[in-house]
Amino acid sequence: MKKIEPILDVKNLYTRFYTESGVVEALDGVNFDVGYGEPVGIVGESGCGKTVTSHSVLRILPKNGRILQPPSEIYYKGVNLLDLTDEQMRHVRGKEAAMIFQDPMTSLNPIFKISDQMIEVIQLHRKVNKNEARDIAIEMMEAVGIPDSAERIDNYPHQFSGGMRQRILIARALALQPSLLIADEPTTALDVTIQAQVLEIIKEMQKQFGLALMLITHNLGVVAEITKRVHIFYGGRVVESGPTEEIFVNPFHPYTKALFDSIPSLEQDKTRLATIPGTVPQLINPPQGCRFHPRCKYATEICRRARPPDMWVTETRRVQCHHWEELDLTIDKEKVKEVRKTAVSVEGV
Amino acid sequence: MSTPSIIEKLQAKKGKDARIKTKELEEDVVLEVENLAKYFKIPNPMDTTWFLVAFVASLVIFAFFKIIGLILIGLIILAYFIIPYIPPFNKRPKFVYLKAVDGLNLKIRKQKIVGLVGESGCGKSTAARTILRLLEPTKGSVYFRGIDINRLTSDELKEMRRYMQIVFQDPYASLNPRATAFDIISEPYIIHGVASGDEISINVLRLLKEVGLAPHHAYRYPHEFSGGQRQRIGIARALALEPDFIIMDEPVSNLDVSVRAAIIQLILKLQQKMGLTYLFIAHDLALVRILCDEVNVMYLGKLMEAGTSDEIFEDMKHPYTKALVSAVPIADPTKRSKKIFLQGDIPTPINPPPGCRFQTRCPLVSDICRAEDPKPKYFSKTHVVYCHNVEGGEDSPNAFE
Repeated sequence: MKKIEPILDVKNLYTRFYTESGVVEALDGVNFDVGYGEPVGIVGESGCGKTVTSHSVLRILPKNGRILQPPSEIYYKGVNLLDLTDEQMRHVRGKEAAMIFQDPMTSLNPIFKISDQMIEVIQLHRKVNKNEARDIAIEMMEAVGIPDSAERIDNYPHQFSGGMRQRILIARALALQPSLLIADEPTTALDVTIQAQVLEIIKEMQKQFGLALMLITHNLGVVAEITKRVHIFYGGRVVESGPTEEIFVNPFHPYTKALFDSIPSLEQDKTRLATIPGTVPQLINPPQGCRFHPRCKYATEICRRARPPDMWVTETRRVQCHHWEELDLTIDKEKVKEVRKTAVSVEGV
Repeated sequence: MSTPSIIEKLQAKKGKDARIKTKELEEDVVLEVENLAKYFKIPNPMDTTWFLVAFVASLVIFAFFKIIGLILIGLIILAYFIIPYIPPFNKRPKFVYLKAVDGLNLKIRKQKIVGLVGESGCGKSTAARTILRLLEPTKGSVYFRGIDINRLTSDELKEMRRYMQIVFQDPYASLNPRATAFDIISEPYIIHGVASGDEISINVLRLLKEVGLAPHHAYRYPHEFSGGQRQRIGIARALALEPDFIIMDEPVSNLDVSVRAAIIQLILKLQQKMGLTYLFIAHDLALVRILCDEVNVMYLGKLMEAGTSDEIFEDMKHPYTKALVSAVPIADPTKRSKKIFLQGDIPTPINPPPGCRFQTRCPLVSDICRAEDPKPKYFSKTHVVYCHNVEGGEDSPNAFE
């Protein structure tokens, strides 16, 4: 597979939070990239550093959060975002890289009309007058499927339902024609039938505008449906990354496998629901060595002592595990063969 | 327990006391819910905009013409109080009803896990609370072991609750932050006076072990536990009085994915070990698929479809069930489900329109759906569908005997 030039290339990202009870090692050497026009998933449980990653990229961390520099580097279109001034950073946020937050109920200001909130954002970043900005806003709202956009734009946020608000946030994010869209759990607060609608819109918009999408979620189903590549986070590190289709059938890291096994699917029987012993690690005092070792059934002495190297194990896949070569974690061998076959045929074309 | 239990006492009163209503249940049915409804009464406020406009205007007039202004202000205040009693304004209802649960029928069989699924706002949790009479039902009956609990006095109900317990959704809100795990788990024993002193301690430690906690956890406070551990305490509390029937109100939806599986395993283990019966409320269909023997699908306070897990997931009939199941994202990139996208949002359950509740979003909607409530159509003894557009089916489950 040809490697796609990354629009966002995060290298050795270390983010620390300084709190009263100690230093939280929220991100500990995170490496990942997002290609131009590529939908990428970031998966992990709560407290694994997914959201901190997105906030670090846009440099919107709270005051007690610090990105260690060196060695952290965040290249966006070849420019290290950590070297930019605050003023330059403001132009990146919104215009270049837009973000959709998890909770559509709190991301809109309840005391302003939707039109005010959209027009303000558009005028801030694009040289248009108020009427043009309004037209752009209405056009975007129509694109995300809000009926009667021209009238509803003058409504207040409380007059919209959760799904509609999330659509408005997507419209607002896309009105500035960003190249990168960061969606932080965009559908977690929504019901399944509404979630299906919103995901479809994100998928459509991604294709239509050729957006690079960084989709942060804990829902593996969502990842499987939307993304081409996925980065699995655990305890502030990326434990595994690679093409979605490969990781879902043939994970290399024991955590990835355990995560898949612990999630019920519509086609499973009771016996297959496996559990991961223990809980998500506290990042104030994280485990030594591999951060997954206290919960890993394959852990050995070296896992307790040394941090596993971040290795490219195939051209497209990367894994952080001492034992990845010895383990066979394939989920269903027949299926893997099938996927490989289709992958080969795609390459042939 | 040697003294006659409350159920025996109440059964003995049957026939003698008109207040006690009983029903012969099928042998393996623990709990039967019949036509249960819970309406919330909401004041229907008058539109006061015009009064305010007129009031402000008369204040302005008052600034220039004192007497005319005063008369106007008086008239407006008078009108404000009199108008609601003058026709046609007196026809406006003072209250509206939010029909959270509207005619729910359930049969819960012994040692089965019965699922109740639906999107948020469909009345799942209200149904759970109304079944246990934590909320007073508007109408309908809940027969637990043949006795209608909606007719009991509060003392009788309290004793009855020993046999029916609930585990709440939010493990952060359902435990008293000022009480230790020991206090929380021992409280049922103290309230019901079934154990004292050392007996309580022994039982609490046994329960802690049962739900996978260590004895030294007993004297910790809720904030010292993780979400999963708190939910274990909630489960231990529900188990304390050895109930037959437990309602699980979304017990894992606030937990992390990897912890979730462990709690599900615990719930299953306890069910098999103690022969418990669960009503499992969830919005996660995949979870219901693996966990439940029977599934009831609710939408806006009404049942849409009910049946065994296989019937619902393999042979679903109702358009809502089909859309709901197809909307679940599948964690397998090689498979793409054919999605049915529902139009629009879930409407409010305040003053719902007549006819099928799903009419506003249903792809198959026709005139009859807007006019009449769908009648139950049985496709097997357990599989019932409430939809006008589903062909076939019998009018009664007895047709399959």
